Amino acid sequence: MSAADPSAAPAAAAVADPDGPDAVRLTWNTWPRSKVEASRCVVPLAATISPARVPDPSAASPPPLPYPPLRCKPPCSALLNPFARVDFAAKIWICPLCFSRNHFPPHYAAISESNVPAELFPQCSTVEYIVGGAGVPGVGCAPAPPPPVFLFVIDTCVIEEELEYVKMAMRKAVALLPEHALVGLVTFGTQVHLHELGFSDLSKIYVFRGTKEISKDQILDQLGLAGAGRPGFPKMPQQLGGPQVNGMHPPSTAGVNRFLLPVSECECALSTLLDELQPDQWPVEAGNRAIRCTGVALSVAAGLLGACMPGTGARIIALLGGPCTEGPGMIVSKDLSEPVRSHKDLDKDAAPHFQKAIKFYDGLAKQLVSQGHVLDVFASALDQVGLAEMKVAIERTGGLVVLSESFGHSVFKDSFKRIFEGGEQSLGLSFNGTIEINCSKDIKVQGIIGPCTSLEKKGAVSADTVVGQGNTAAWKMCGLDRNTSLTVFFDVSPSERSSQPGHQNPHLYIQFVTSYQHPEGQMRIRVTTICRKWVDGSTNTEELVEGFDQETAAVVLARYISLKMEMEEEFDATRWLDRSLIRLCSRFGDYRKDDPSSFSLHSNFSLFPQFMFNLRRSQFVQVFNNSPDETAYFRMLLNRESITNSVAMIQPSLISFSFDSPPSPVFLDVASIAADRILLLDAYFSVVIFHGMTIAQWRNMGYQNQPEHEQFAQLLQAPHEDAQMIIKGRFPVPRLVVCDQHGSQARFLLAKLNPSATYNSAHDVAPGSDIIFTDDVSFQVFCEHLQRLAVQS
Amino acid sequence: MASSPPQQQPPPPFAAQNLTAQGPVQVPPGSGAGALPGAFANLQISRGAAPPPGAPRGLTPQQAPPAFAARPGPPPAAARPAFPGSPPAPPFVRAPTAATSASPPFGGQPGLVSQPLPPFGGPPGAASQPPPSFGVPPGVVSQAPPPFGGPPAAVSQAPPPFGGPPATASQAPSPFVGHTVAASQAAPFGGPLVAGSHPPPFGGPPVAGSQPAVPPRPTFPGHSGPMAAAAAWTQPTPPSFGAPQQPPPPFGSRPVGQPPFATQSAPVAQQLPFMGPPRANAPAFGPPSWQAQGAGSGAMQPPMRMPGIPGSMQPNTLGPPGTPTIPYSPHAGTQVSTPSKIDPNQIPRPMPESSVIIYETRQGGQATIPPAASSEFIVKDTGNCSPRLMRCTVNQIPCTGDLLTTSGMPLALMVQPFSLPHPSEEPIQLVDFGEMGPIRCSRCKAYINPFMKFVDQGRHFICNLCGFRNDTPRDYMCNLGPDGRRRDADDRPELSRGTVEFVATKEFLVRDPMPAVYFFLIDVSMNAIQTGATAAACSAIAQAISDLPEGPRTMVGIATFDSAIHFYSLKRAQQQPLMLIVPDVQDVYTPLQTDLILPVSECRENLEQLLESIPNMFENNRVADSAFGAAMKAGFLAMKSTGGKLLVFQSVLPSLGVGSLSAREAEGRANITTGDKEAHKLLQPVDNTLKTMALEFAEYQVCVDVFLTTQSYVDIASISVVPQTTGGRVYYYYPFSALSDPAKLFNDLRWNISRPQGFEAVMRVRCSQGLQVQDYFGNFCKRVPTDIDLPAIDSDKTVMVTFKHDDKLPENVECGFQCALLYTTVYGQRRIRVINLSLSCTNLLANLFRCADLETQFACFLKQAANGIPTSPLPRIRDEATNTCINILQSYRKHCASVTSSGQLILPEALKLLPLYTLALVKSVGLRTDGRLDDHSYWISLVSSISVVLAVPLVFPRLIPIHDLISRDDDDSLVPSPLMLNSENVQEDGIYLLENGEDGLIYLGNMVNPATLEQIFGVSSLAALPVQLALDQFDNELSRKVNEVVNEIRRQRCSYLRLRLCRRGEPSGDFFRSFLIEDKAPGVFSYVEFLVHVHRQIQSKMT
Repeated sequence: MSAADPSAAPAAAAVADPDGPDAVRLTWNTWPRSKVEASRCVVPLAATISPARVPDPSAASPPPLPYPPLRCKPPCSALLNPFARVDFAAKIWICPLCFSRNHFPPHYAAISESNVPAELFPQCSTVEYIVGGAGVPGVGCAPAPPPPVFLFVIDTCVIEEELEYVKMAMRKAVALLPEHALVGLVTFGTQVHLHELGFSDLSKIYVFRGTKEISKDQILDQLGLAGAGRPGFPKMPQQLGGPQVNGMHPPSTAGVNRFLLPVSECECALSTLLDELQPDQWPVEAGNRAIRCTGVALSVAAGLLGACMPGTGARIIALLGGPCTEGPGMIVSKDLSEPVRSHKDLDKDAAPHFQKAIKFYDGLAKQLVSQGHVLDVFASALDQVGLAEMKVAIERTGGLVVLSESFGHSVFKDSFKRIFEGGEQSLGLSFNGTIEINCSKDIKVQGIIGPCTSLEKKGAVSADTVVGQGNTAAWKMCGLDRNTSLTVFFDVSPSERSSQPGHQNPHLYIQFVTSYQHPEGQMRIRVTTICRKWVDGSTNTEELVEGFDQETAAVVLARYISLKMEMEEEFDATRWLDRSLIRLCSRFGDYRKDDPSSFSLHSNFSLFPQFMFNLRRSQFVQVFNNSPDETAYFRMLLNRESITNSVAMIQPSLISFSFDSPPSPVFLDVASIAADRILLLDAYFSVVIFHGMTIAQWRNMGYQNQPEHEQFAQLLQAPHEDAQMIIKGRFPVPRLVVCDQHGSQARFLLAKLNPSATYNSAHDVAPGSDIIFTDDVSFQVFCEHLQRLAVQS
Repeated sequence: MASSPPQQQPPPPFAAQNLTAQGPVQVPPGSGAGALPGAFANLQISRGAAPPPGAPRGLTPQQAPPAFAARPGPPPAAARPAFPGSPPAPPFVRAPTAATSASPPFGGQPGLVSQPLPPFGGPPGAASQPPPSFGVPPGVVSQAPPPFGGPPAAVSQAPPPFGGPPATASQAPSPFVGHTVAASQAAPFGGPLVAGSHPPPFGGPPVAGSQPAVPPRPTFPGHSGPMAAAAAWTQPTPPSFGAPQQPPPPFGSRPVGQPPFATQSAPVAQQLPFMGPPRANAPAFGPPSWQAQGAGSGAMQPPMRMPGIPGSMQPNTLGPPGTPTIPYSPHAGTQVSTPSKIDPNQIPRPMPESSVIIYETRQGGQATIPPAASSEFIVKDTGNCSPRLMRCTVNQIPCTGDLLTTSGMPLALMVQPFSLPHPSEEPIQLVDFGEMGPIRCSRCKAYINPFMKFVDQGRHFICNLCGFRNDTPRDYMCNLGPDGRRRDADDRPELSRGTVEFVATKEFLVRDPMPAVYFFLIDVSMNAIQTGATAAACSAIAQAISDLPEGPRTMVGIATFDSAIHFYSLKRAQQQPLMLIVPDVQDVYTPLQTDLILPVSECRENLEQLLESIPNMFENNRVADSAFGAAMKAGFLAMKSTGGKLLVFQSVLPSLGVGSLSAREAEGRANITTGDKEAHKLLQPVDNTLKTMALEFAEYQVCVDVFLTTQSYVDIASISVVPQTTGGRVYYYYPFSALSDPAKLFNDLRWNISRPQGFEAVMRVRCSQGLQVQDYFGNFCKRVPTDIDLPAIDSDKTVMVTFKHDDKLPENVECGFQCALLYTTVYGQRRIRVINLSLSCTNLLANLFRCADLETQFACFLKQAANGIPTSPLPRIRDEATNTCINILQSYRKHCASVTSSGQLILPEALKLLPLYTLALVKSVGLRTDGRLDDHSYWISLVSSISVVLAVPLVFPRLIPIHDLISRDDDDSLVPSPLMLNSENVQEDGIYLLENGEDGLIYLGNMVNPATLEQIFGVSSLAALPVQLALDQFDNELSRKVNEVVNEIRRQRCSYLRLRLCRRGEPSGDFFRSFLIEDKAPGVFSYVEFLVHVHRQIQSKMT
């Protein structure tokens, strides 16, 4: 009998990779046993998992296993994992989650203590299986993996210059695509143009009007594809496993040949098309916005994919240059006198198109999910394009989203390029993922926040209370990539039996089973099984504290609160956060009642108040500083990024470069500004290089070009190099802002800093430093209040 | 043009004629009738007294020459300078050269066709110019026929001259050349020529002189000799008019009677393909000289002659109504027993009119009675408009409504504002009042016209329509002369001409004049592709592009459709056009705002290339559905901003999308034969969808023409609503044949876009107080009661306007009518064409009958009948038609001929043929009970805009033997005189062409000489004949002649006949026989029986 040491793995791995080999982080690594205890923990029991994360190459992880996994008998259906007890003699394994005994199948006959399959290796708490892929022994005549499908949806209601940028980006993209990838093209403005790439006689375009909502069946009829995809994709995509690929052949090869062609065959046609592409020809009346029918364009794209490619991985890549002003999904009328909705309008229910548009995109999301397709949006406009409304469709399908000001901006250009790049830089775009969660008894899943959709398969693990996508035991991720991260909220609900102290198992197990279409085309199943300890929280606060992960907790809270802000009207986020923090501090702080000065926190909690302080000030909570589109954008990224990245969104990092010292992190405080420093701020969405006044003067005088001041040149260069490092590894590519102290762009830095010095306190500011014009409280004041309130009886 | 008054010259020629005619001329109507009785036992034909000598008919030397001026070039014949006739550089003419060389109007047969292109009337200039070329002074002409005379003379004496032509023909690609020339010359004066082959060119007169008896008309008889079939009636013809008898001899010598037509055709030939023709044909059927002319230009009226003749003939006794005897048996078996004293040879029938009439619209301060619409005449506008543009059912207006009611006749105008002028006529003058705009009555807004009376030293003028006294604008002031007319009246067209055009000022523009936009819509559904209809349409369009008006304002667009609509953006430098598909056919839209319609100069190459590739592109199309309505709507949307012409080529029943239709025919066929009372409902549009659509089209000035190239039922009843509402028409090719129809399709299309026409037109007819417009009939859209909107109007379209009295008209004042048509020319000028007609009023019923215009009235009856078909059972329509005829005749009998015995059937001279035409109407395709629904609907749609000239032939076709074209020989005439429509004239060893302006049925007897077959069809036996006929020209004279005849007819009718082979014993043969009007058919009267019936009815009413 062998069982891995449950707690060893996470602890050891944490050092190398904050997310560990399993790419799973929990808010609490030790769990209270009862509901009451759990609620007293304030920070919910939650796990974040990146199901397609490529483990750090340095950590020698086993190659994918070329055979299908073993499953526990239903209803558990958990997969065989290192935590299972194995009776080699009897050829039996006991599922750690449900304790059922399962016989090994005949082909495991050779199993012995010295010959165990990889999935039982202790370090293989995460393991991948290849199923149904080509060339896999034992699977036989599996068909070649389906090619990836890219259906571009391009907005032509843009000025010539922008369109040129789009064309440039498209040409690059086409050149980067693998030859066998299928490509389709939809352009739209006042009307939707679906280009039939497979028609050689002349350029053939199906034109759909922008004003009318058009059902999928109508689209099929009108494209002459009716009957092709009609029987449709079953509402629930298949279970895990190979049959999915095999059974899901594109029903309509005719449609495929007409509208979606391998790059190798249509490269020429595409480039001609791009050359000829003109800004929308429909006139824009004075005082009006261009008429843009984004909604119908996306419907058409979805309908086409539904007809040609149901169940096969496909992306709709939409390049949007402005708001939808007509037809379904419209967010604002074409009359310029009507401004695009703001948060204020939404609050006051004064956005007449908002709910309708949401409803439309919700429907679109459902359709895409049922087809297994992804919607990516690249919005490049000074105005809002309606991301707030589209969010539902993008997030549910696991799509990518990039918001920038122009198609000529590097944020767009570089991000767009990256999705087609392979190799090290690859995003690892995968399709058609499904994630299932198996847990020990007593643990229920409330739901998931992140880029996925509930498959509405209610199971034993489904909790009654729902957070995000809940009420199910399986979720669909039409698109996922290396960074995709989900936040799973758990609920502890001890059953009668398990409440009997005698039978208590000290360990809890959670298993995440993800099946997805790997970028290389094969279907893979990835299994991550984690084991954590139960703790009796009422008696042993110490253990709970030890298991607290403050970064994860901060991110989970941020995600949770974002969700609440969206879902609940009149929700006061700041207040809620404050109260939670106070409760947490009261619960886990070390203090004497009513004596603020006695207050202290365990090191595991030490950063948490600061996270909360910055979260309160962040774009996630202070939405009124942003447009609804930006808010939606920030939240979508917050919800899908890894913990590390998400923390950067909440609390940017600040590094100082100066002659005095090597680059070093400094406080995110206005006091960190100095005339002879260069600061590098990483706020995730933007990277700011901030030159102190003196540095800026030197630079302006050109010292860096003088050989004797080479050191200065190096100093100037250093933050840029660091910034490039950051930018390179990130998607979407952050916006790089280079600014000088007192320059207008400096606001990108100042907005993020703790206002320890404001115009109110200007008198005691050190020379060369800076002040912030705000009435916001500083962190010091915040903490004083916190201490006072936390210790109140 | 004619500077010298026509009268002067004419006199001599006519003198001779007058001799014959004199008596009658002066005879008052009543007396005229009286004179005859002796001759006719029961049947009387009273010809109205001829009005005061009208314009002399005959040729004004000058005019005549003009036409042919070029031709004289005998030598030329060979050279065949481009149409001799054609003016140097007539506006439209560009065609000439080009046309000649390459594209004949009816491309089918290049050679033949070439000439047509012509000049349409549009450019009046053309017409006017010719004369100059001939330059022969009038005087000269008259005296020296030689110039032209060459031909004529030749003709008369030596056929050779004409013989020449053929030869030329052979050499010259265009057969006509030779001929035409000859013909043309003759034509103008031709009348005479024909008459006597002997006669001198202008000969009318001369000849006459020599052989007094032989006035032009005789022609007919002449041929008869030659024609076997004709025999039966040949002699008889004359009956009515003795003249014939004498003539025969002369003609006897003459081979076939081609002359008559030939001559006439000639003019036509030279002109444009079509333009000439209309008139030309007239002669063919033209009411015999007696009748038409009797009414018309009294001066020359031959009518007089007749009187004498009748006497000599057997009396036209119809005998006791009950027992007519028909001497011959029309149709096997049908003859039955109709004992009668009626000699079928004596009953009224149309006589061909052969001479050209010079017609002055007013003389001596009075309106003259216009010549028959079907005759050939040259109009001199002396105050009233040309009758081609507007003519009235009666040429004197009854003072009271009661009088009109009593007469039983309709009061209506037939307005054909763009009718083709005779080449020798003066063009309509354009008047530009500059900023001021045309002078108008400030009360009724009538336009200035010759009948507005200037008073008070010219300071005021009194409107002739409403009587309002207007101030004369200062700038327009002019002193009055001693005669009370303005001194400048003769210099100002608007004060001296019945028809003028004004340049429209800004107040007539709601927007800039629209460009000429042509949008083609082609059905590419499976059926259309497989039957070759798509290819035919594409090729027709490709060929026709060059006929579009030139200039930067001519725009084209194209789309194809099956279950979706495919637009093409032709702009773009790139090689390939862009195809934009609109797949939503329930709720269509246009895929682009611009670029779908481009100036033809910018996209011509792309368009041609596209048209070439369309048939291939859709070669494998398996889509059977056709979204016709949706496609029209989409095309409309594309051209909504400008308006224009939408030309739709449709091949199957529209089955999809907006305005889709269902096959109603199956039930329809059953019902219609069983006489279901509801049967006519199938001739109504199935619902309002297309009508609503059409109204919208019209609002945006889009005119739809539909070309139905189909092999099945397409529900024309529903489809035709669109063209009818938008000023277009339906073209019908059933059953479509890829072999024989493409040529017709092309020629129809070409004529459609190249004929004189205008866009975005609004028309209003005003009339004197006392009358008011009752209704308008035709292809247009009517939104307000007073105006009609015509998105497009062309030379073929006629609008009927009916009037009713709302007060009593004073007898001593003329009643005025003014039609004002505001339109945009194809070159983008906004103009107002104002057409005036002022007729005297009368309180005498007899005057009404005397001045009745048979053909106009008949056109009116025809339209009314067609109008009623969809809403009433057919038998009722037939009864109504018959009753109308009976009522008129009975009114005449009762009020104007009461002195005669009640046992006689007395017919007013002017309406002598009314019974015959009425019978033809009752037997026409539209009023028959059998037949396909679509045929009925098509007929109805055709009639709604048909002109007076084509109305009669449509129901009363022309029957021409073609097997003996050669043997009858040789001279100038192209089309032999028609045979009467009864089966006696159809021999089993003959081949006949029966044409009604739409269809040409070629009937082959069972005993046709194989050699003849070989010559005409290139096959040696009947069995080898193809089902579908494409009339090729073979290298032999007969074939050449046949083709010449067919082409001549096409030209005359402005229509490329659909030729069909009919064989005895096959359904096609029965179909052919159904056009033999005079025969008895099951359930329908023979002509004789019908007369008896009418007579009996009248008698019963009288008692």
